[in-house]
Amino acid sequence: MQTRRQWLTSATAIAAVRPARAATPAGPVAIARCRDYGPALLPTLHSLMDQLGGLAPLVRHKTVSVKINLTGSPRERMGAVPAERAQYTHPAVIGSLVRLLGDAGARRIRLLEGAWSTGDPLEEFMYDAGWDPAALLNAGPRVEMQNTNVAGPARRYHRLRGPSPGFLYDAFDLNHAYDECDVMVSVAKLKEHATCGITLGMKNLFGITPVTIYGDHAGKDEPAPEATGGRGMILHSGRRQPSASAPQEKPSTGPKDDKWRVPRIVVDLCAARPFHLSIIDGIATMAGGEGPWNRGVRPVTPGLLVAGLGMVETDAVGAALMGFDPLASRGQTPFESCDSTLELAEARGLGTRDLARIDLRGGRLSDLRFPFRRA
Amino acid sequence: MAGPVASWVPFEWPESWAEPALLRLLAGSPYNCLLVPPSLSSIRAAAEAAGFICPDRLRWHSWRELDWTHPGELAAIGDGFWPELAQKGGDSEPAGPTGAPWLDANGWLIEMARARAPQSTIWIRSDLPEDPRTLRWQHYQLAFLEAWAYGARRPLALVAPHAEALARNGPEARQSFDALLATHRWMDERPAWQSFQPFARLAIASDFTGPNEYISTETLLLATRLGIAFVPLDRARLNPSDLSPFKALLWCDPTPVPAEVRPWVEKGGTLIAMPAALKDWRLDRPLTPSPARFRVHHCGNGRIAVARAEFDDPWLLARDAHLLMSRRHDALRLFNASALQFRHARQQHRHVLHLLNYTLRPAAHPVVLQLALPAIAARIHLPGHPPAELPLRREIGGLEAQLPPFPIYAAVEFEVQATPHADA
Repeated sequence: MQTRRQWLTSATAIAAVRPARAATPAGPVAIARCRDYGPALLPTLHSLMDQLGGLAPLVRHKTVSVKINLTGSPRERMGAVPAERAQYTHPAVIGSLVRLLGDAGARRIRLLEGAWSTGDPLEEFMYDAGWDPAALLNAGPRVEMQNTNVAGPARRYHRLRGPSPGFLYDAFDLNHAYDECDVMVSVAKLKEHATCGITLGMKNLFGITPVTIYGDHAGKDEPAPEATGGRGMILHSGRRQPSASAPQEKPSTGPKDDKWRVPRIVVDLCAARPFHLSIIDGIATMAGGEGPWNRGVRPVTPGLLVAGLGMVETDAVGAALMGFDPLASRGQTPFESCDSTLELAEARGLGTRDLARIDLRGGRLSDLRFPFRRA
Repeated sequence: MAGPVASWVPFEWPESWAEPALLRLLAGSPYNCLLVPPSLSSIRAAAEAAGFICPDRLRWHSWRELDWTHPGELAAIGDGFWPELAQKGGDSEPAGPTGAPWLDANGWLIEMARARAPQSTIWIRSDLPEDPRTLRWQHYQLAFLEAWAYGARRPLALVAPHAEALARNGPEARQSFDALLATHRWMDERPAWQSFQPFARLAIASDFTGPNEYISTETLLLATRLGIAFVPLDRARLNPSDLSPFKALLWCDPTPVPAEVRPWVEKGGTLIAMPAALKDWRLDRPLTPSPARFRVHHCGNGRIAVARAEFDDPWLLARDAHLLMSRRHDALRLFNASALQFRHARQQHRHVLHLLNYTLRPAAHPVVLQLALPAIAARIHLPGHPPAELPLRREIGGLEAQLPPFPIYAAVEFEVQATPHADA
């Protein structure tokens, strides 16, 4: 639990770094109805990309890294619901994006995830979920996959640093694919989150941290040779530091409470590794949490696709589509007991969460809103 | 007449049952073979007079000491495990290196025994839990269903409080014992399943003895715990023509791999072995990149993965073998099944999947079975219930079925299309 003193400290800290909203550039966001993962998906996603100005100017002749969201064990389901209809970004969304990136002239496409508690190849992780990774690898030219819990073919981690001091971390050691790319894309799922209230494009980046360095079994001095464990001990609770070879967490007077810590770390990650394009799969998902391990979760089918060129803006629209006020702060829905990643990111200058300033294209919010708490 | 050992259904007569009249408890039951303590000679005489088989020189062996070259008609393993779920999971010590809940289970041991003594009937027993208060009647069902699912028998041995309650004709004991008998009868209605052969894409070969015992048997144990389906092969009995169902062969021992295995590799198999086992094999240049602990070579349409060092970590070896084969070849997947173990067996196109729930209570989320095989139809078998059709639906990964809740055991029986690719 956060004390009132700690809450005041964090609120003051947010206010202290908050820039004038008008000064923050607002990236456009496009939204559309897409009722299932069938034939309508590809043209709908194509249309969203066109509404954002087209993919070609962004990706032609570029190396594109795509962070997908495969949270938790591939063998764990919410009831009998396949993971891709609940907690994972659906392979049809990923495949459609790969196809569009290829058509737009991307030079190389890397699908990336720090898959849960393993350094196994991402393809093998997908097989474990019942997916066929070949369908994704063949959806476009020069597609590859990497489980970014490990250093991968580069054999060393790359240090990525934010442009300004972070809340808890100024820099992170990450898989090379997050550094050696021209364009970074986050493909997330439209979900609530037990720790952060909501998990959308920005929270998706929590999974870029390699568990060899930031996991429960991370090496003390150097990255662990095997990737196992979750991210509870270091990032969630702050009970220990990452491997000494990596940038250490800064001294902080903040609480050892993951509902205070994780939103800040997410913003630090987004500052160190900003993404250019955010896509949120809200076609079939879950309400009440981010995975089957949360109590009270249930399947929902909002039938929504969201895409945007601003990290904060896209999440703000996503939150609004879920029936939440993106301007909400701690204590208000959906941030009843946590800090708002949106608010912190805005304060950090990563974008705006003010819907009035966001260039919304495609559908109308009022037509597409799907209140999660009432679903 | 005693009849073949395979037909014996053993019951360990409790020490406290000194009255021959208690034979009435077993009258008409599936138990036809009584293991009577030597001190109860009057019971033995009465039991034999009543038609029970009472073997007098039954010797239980440690599986490490059993003469596997001459096991006899009955291979009786006396140092099995009492099947149960350790209460801790996650990173705790009882969870072990897999991180999965620690199950004391016997499936790997029975499979190995069947591989090493294919003509013998396998019995398995273990000491009962030290504290009988921790043991519920359902534990017995798990114990003998586990042995039966893997093609063996476990004698029913009651802890003293249960034996005494049953002798007093206590209503709960009587009801629970009747439930055990009903489960036995249910099992006996499915005799064909006992002749089904284990089915998996990964074979693990060894002599499972001497200096090879540790790495091979621990690999079997940990592969089971990781949910990796495998078939153990006694390398002394290996017939290369038997390798056709397999996609990968893990050769655990440093003993040379027979040259007769090469055609199977060239047809597309993956052979995984230590350098000493392949010293006589001609290998092409290794592929780059290769996995951390192996050099991988092409061999016809198949591959040979040569370890960079001697095998010494069975957990890594089990994982590596699965990855080198690739999970894309898994014939089935189970979801929400972390405290379950399974045995997949078949006879031609008929398959049965035995599912054992070591928690003794239904899972919080329904168990989902995903089949990569071209199944035509499936039926669910639950003790105490008639078989029922199990609806299959098409999902991304294959045909899926949601299983009804079951506390101890369920079996899914299915038939696959008789196509040339049914094994593929």
